[in-house]
Amino acid sequence: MSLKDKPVAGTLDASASSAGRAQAAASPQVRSPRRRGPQGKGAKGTPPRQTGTGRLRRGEHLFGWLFVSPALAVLLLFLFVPILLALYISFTNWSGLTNPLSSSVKWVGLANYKTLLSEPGLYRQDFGTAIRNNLYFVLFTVPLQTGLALLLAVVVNNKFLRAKGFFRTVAYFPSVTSSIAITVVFMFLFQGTGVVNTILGAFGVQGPNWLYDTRGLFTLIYNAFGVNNPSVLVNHGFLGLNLWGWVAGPSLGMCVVIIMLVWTTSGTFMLFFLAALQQISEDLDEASEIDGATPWQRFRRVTLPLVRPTLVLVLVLGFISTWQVFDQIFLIGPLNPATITPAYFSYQISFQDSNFGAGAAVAFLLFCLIVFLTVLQRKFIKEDLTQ
Amino acid sequence: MKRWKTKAILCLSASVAMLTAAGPSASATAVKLTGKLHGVTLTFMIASSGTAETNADKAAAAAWGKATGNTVNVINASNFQVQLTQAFAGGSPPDVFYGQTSMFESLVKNGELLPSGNLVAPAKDFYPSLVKEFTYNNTFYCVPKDSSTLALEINVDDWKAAGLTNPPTTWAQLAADAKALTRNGVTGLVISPTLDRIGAFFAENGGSYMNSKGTNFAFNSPQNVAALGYLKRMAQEGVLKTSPQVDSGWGGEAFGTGKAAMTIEGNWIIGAMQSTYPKINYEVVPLPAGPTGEHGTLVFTNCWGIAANSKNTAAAVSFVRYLASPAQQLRFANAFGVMPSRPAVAKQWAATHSGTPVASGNQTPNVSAFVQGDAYAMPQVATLGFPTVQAAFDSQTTNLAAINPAALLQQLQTNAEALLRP
Amino acid sequence: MSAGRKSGWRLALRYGVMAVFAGLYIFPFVIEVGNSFKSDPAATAHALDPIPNPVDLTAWKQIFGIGAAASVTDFPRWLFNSAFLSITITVGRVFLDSLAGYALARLQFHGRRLVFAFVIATLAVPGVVLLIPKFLMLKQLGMFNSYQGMILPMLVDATGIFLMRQFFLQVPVSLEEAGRVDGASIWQVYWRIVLPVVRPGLLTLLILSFQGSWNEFQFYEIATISPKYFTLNTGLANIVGGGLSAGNQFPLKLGAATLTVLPIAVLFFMLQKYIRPGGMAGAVKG
Repeated sequence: MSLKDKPVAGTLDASASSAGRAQAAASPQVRSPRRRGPQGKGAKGTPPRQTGTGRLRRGEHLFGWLFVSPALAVLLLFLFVPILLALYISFTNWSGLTNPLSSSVKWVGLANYKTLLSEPGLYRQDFGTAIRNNLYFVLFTVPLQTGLALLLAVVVNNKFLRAKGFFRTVAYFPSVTSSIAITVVFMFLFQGTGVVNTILGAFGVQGPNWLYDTRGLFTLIYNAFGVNNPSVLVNHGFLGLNLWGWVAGPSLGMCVVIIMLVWTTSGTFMLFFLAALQQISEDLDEASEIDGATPWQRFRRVTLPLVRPTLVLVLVLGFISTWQVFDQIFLIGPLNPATITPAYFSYQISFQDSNFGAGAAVAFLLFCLIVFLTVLQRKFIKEDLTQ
Repeated sequence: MKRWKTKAILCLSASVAMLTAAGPSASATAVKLTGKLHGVTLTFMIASSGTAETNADKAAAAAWGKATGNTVNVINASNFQVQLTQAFAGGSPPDVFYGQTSMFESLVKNGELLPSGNLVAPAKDFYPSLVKEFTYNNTFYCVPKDSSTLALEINVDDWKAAGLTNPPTTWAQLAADAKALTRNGVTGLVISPTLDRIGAFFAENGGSYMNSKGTNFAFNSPQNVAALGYLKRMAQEGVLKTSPQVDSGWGGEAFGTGKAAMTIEGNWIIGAMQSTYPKINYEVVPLPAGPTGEHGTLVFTNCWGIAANSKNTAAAVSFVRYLASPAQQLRFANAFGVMPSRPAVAKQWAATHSGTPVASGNQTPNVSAFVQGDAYAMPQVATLGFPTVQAAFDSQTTNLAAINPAALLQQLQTNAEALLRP
Repeated sequence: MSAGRKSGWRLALRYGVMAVFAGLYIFPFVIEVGNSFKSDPAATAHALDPIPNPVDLTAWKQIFGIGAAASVTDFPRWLFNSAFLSITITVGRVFLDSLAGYALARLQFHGRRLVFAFVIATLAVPGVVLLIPKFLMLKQLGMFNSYQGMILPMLVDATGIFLMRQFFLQVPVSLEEAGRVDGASIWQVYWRIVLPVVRPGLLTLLILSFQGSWNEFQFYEIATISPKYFTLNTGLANIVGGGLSAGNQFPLKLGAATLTVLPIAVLFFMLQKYIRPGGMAGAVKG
């Protein structure tokens, strides 16, 4: 995944190193169309360069292309061309066992997309479940990791507090560790008689078999209020899942992944906020304190406006990366409906069922979904920024 | 880049197979065609049932390599089917691999499987039922590796402690015994949550995976629904649990760690018990019969597959000849308990493993229950794409007490039928 | 007076929150290490106990193949692969990304805006969507299951190019012009004059690239099949993902996980001051 995960991971860590730079790095995602504007202007706006001689300008053409061509070649070869190839595959019945361009591969038109979106069957149901799982994953993970990071940053940002450096190190360390190693540990913590259930047991709570429990969090709450399988919701649905399934909330298995992700990323995002908070002058803070403002008022009036750009950045990064969760799902189990996500589903049906056509189709549907949400988000954030 | 000579090789192999059928000398011609017999490196992808099997495969590979001057790299795949497809799709197939029944047809249809059966050994040397599994359009594609059936394993110490005597032979007895064996920290019966165990109860109740003509699935038959209902009742009583419910990876682990007094596993449990849980004193008996007195179990088999695109099919065939030889079959059977696919060897093995269970550290369980099952065992579904369908079913069987048998089997039926549509 | 006492309370509260969360961040690692020194049943029965009693080395013997147990890991190989790939990719990325970033920031050439738009566009492609496409490409190029296949697609990343471009834009133009007046070629200006100035930026990219390639999992999983290409991550995943009958074996898995975390942990604590935001920001300003 690599190339593309990097943007996210990359920007993320860059920001950890300097908030100012992080915001610059995030801008492609936030408002890249406008970026191109200033860039163009910037090119025009450097008149000194125009004074260069013709010889030099010719040299610049040559060197310019020489400098970008290795990078460009890699991006074309391993990003652009593969996407086209996969788009083609998504309209075929390629099994993965022959040459995808050979004559034995049949063009099936939209059949793969239909199987996923409109034909009743396992694929549609799995796809619907995967979308549901990931949707709740995003809706829970992003606010939780952002909120916790901000809270911790506000708590830690105090000049009289010692051991801050230690805390930063401790909080940041999980994100340096590989997701595979962390998942192994969390699988251990959340197994049936694992650490978490032992702790719950001490409070007299019988913990579930977390990782493989497909019951939704909300369903359990509805059940507690005596609501179960209301026919209104059971009899309607889409993508092979009835509405009762759609409102089920994250499965208990997915809750583990949510907790794991929040645990891993909150420390990093806390560093983002800390960097932003450190720009707030102590005088301002103290002045408002003497003013008699409550902590909440101070947070609203002083802190929040100042960290707003960072907040937007953290939210954007969170939304993009959470739609791509894969490593954790890979380890937790093959086609475990409690935790299956579209990214993993695409991988699994390609290699398990030798159905690369459908696998590629899932990848493109996910692609469209992410692009759509990014555009939507950009609109919201733009409004937010102009306020 | 380099590949895509598939068709040429397929034609070649086909003609080779025809020649071989004509006479033994033809195999020599085939051997000359692809690669050398010495000094080559083969890759060997296995789907191991555990340490015992992995070590036996590695030992066999090393022994053959040493004897012939070749090298064999063993790849123990953690997710076999995915990794094998990846290797084939990526154009780097392993030279020799476990040919699983679920992948057999698609491998043949795509020309990826070398028709090596007769090159290795004549079909008549193996159990005909196994040969049938690996024959397509009258071509014997790969020799059967071995077979395993399901049986009931009983912890003898728990059994005695509960004051029980004869092993269960009916469903009613199984339920009663499971109840008697269930006490603090020990569950009477623990099984892996999968169709590959539950299906045995279908067969015992006169049910089946396929209809009598083999033209369609029959998962939603009344017999199957009743069988699943029987398991559900036991689960509701708390005398039957699935392995994840007792924090185990599979039935054998629950059994070996003393969390289960009984489990249902295949021959491979022998290897695991020997290598990992040598202190458990256990007995293997046939699965109890259903209400109508019907016996039933499931059979699992693999073949020794050779990739048609391998550059070293000559050496690969030689290696498979070694793996499928009577002497090596006996070694495998002794190491991890699978049944040899050659009747002659199977008899020899069963004769040496007919003792009653003995004291700790020296387990030689009676394997006759496994051998006996071969006569009436139901084979696995080999339809392409079925593993995903089965995974959807399996994932809902973790908590058997909470299932709706009819609905679950109807869903399985619907999903499976979709595979048959063109 | 009362204000002072109030802030004292608040400080205590801050310490409390910090302590609880520090515990939460550290606790899983303690559990990980502690349980790797237990027997299988002990790890399942007393998972919460961080101190193994009695200490059981079975898992570690299996990991390193000491005694009768066959080694389930090839740790030296995995470590070598992880290090070799990460170093190669990091060096390649820092060089190629900075080259392209410089050209996009400072060189006038036809199609520059198009190239830049392309780089920005690739930033928007979700990486996980590229998993199957990249596999297809490696297969078509005959690079599946090879070091080339693992390295080449990782050599350039759009974020890196974008980051470097931002850094180069901050460098005063006058600096380059002085160099050009002195007769330096474009390459010399880039290599001798501009690159040293953006050293903090290079260091950032270096750390990001190393961390990214070291922790890479999905792409390596897709790009290879042979154990000889296992990195610490893919090797660990292969142990953990072992089929049904491999059993729980948590001490073994946790031990292997500890082992894979160890090298990056050592590196992290050694280079901590560079990774910490304060230190980095200072370096950039200075």
